Amino acid sequence: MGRWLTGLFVLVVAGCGYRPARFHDAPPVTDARDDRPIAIPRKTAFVEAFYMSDVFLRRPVVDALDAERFPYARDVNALDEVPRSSWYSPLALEPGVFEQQYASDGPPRGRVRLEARGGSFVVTDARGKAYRLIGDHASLPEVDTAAALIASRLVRALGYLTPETWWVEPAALGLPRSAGPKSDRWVAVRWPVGVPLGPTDMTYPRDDDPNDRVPHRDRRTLRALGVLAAWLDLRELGPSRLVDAYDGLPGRGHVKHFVVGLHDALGAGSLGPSTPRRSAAGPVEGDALANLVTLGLARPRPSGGEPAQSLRVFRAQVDARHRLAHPYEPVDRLLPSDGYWLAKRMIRIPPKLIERIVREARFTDPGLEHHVLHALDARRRTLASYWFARVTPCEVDSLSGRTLVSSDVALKAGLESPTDTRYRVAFLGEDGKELAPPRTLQPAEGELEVPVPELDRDYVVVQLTAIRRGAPAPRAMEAHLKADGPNLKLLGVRH
Amino acid sequence: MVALLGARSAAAEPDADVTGVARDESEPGDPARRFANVLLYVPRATTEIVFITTGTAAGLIEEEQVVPRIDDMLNPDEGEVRIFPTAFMETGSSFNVGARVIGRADGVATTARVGYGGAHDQVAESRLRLGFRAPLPVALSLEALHDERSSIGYLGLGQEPERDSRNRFRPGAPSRSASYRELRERFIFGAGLRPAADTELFASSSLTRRHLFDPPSAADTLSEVFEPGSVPGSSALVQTAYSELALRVDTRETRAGPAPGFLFEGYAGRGAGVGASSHEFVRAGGRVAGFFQLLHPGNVLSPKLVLDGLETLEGPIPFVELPRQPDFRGFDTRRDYVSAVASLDYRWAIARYVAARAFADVATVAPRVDALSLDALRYDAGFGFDLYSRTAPLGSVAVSGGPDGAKLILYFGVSSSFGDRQHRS
Repeated sequence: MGRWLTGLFVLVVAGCGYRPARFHDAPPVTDARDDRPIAIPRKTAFVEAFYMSDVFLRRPVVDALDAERFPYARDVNALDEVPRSSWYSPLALEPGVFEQQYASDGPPRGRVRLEARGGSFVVTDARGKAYRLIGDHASLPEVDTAAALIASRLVRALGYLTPETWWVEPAALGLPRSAGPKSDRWVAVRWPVGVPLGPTDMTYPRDDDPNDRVPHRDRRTLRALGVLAAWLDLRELGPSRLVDAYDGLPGRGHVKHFVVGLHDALGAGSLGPSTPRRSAAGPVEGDALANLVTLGLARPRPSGGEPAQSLRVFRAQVDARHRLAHPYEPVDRLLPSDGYWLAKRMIRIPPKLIERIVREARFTDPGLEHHVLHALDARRRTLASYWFARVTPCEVDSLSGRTLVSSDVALKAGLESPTDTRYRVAFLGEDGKELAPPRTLQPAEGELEVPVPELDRDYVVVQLTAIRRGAPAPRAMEAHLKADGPNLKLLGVRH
Repeated sequence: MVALLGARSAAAEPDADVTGVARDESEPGDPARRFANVLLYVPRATTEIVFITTGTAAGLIEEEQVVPRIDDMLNPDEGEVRIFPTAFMETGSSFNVGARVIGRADGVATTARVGYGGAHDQVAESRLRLGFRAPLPVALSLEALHDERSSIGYLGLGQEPERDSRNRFRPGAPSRSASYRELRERFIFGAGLRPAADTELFASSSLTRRHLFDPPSAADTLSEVFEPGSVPGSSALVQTAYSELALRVDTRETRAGPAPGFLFEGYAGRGAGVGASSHEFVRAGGRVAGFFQLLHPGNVLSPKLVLDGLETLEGPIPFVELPRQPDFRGFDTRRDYVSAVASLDYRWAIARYVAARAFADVATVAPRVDALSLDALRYDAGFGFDLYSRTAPLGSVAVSGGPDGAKLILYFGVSSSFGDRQHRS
């Protein structure tokens, strides 16, 4: 027994050091090539009872019994970016170019054929493309339609696939207004795209799609949806928000993964009529443990006052630890590097593009337009500040001989001040041992130049740790370098 | 020389890893975490198996409400067929494994299940439900069950069987508690109607055949514990045809989470022996419960009273037809002609889909209604948690305890005590 315990102690102590990852000497992958032709996979059924049992019962118990730390995202390349794939396909962010690229199919064209399906309306245009019509509820004007138009474009600007959403006038479609949604405003959502395959599994890859190789819970694109949900005030992810569709002719197409249901965005989902039936207990306020101990009798009452019946419900204040109504496994495994990635993309969207997107909603009240614009900007800055503070938000710009040039995204975005910022620079071998004494450097004009000393190693990890107002960031940025004659080449980046 | 980043790039080879990582990083404590994970493998895997194999699947079809509400029928899940492995363990029986197949299509739901727990512990069941929404919600159901249980306890009649003179224990019997093996076949046809949003009417007929045997390996058989011939129906084939009318009014918005409202259920039915079985009886009873909100929505106090009775028209009545007490959350070990169970539950929502529950039950049985008394009441109390969705209960874990001992109640999906009333008899 004593020997066994000693062995265990040695095992634990032996694992106490940090050893960085090691990258292959290969170009970074910029296209995941997960669009190879496959047969149409089967449709995924959604059974609410099974889903709820899974997210509220099985997973909390199983996760509590799993001591492994969450792994680094598996859908990122060596430069810590998500390559183009059936999940993520970024567009140019210059306003004019973005609008062209967003309009892949464009709005419905020509006269349409209308089908009413269980309370929803689907039109098929002269090209055979299907669109779902959405209107506003009578008591909530300019809510669902505006949310769908704005959120669809913002989600697409972040690189996610989402159905195009367009203003439509009934007369232009050859329809009387009475034929579709009972609303003064209609939008057409390009859906279904191809063959709908049901909800995207939040945990595992599809077993009938050979292109789908990364466990979904370890996809950065899905983990980072928690940040997107916070920005756009989406209360739900999961089966109502992520769906698969087969795009292409049978046997020649592949599966794409879409973010849908964005008429719930910008807080619209919290307004009555568009919200599905609530639990009998309603939205339960307060901490679960406090509710348990006090027998529910000291539970805080729901926040008073009638909620605004417009998109003024979309507030400028946001809690960076946005809570979803239902647990979503990839978001539960969100690492700082994943949150940083989305925050970085969010902050890159030019204000001019956001202005043009919000203008698309055609609010009749200019004050409401201003409110939404202000809230979008304030929320993304809050979220970016939060996630940039969880890592060292530096990117490698270039390598010049043996000098690494890096820029700080937080400084560029004006979220931090250069005068408050220093960087601790360490040089590690692939075994994690320091190869040279660490230094402290200061940024110059938002950039940091790091001369890498001559070291007797082929593989060097340059570790940058931001120090703001004297406090080091919780995580360092690592640039993995390999000797290339007298110069260095970059093999990988980690945050 | 300036190396511009992004100048080198590549598309992934088919099936290649896009990360470019040759070896993952290792953080302090990783070996200890891996070691802990090895230790936690068994409980983790067990949880996974228990989850997959429980009544979650049953919850898809065995809803407490017999007749679906109109809005449930307007939004049927699209056609689907699912196969679930099943496993369960009950006190006093062996581990049972099997499979359940569930199919749903517009208006039709069907399920079949088989389970095996040993040579004398098996179950096979098939159910079919047809639903129609117009002009009123109507459901027709048909089911067949075959099961065998190797060891079922029987203490005798009455609240205190050892002191009840109707029980003729053999002198020198090894125990005052007998057990028997039962082989059961049951067919039920039911028709339900929902004439109003909160009201269900249900008519059902069943044919049940029970073969009672001594358990394969036990000394405390019925014939060892009781005088031969003193327990009607023992060591015999009991066949009963039974028809019943039931009415249920339930004003709660949902039966999932804590919701205020009122529940009344009443039933009456007539049963008669078939073939060599020559018994005949009338069964009647009901339950009434109130669900009262305390201070906030989500806090519900609910008193409940359940009465079941059986009147002999032609006897003797096989003991297996006498009322039991499935509503008593302690040990359901008493049978007699009249049963009463009263309970008080307090449920309070602690999170959106989780409620805590504290409860207490008292139970008694008697040969007649006027013989019911508060003497020798059996009681138990407990505490647990319920998990539910917007529309259906999903699972429950609770501990109850009383003078007879403690009991862990655990299920995923809808408890087997739900369903139409005949399943509870």
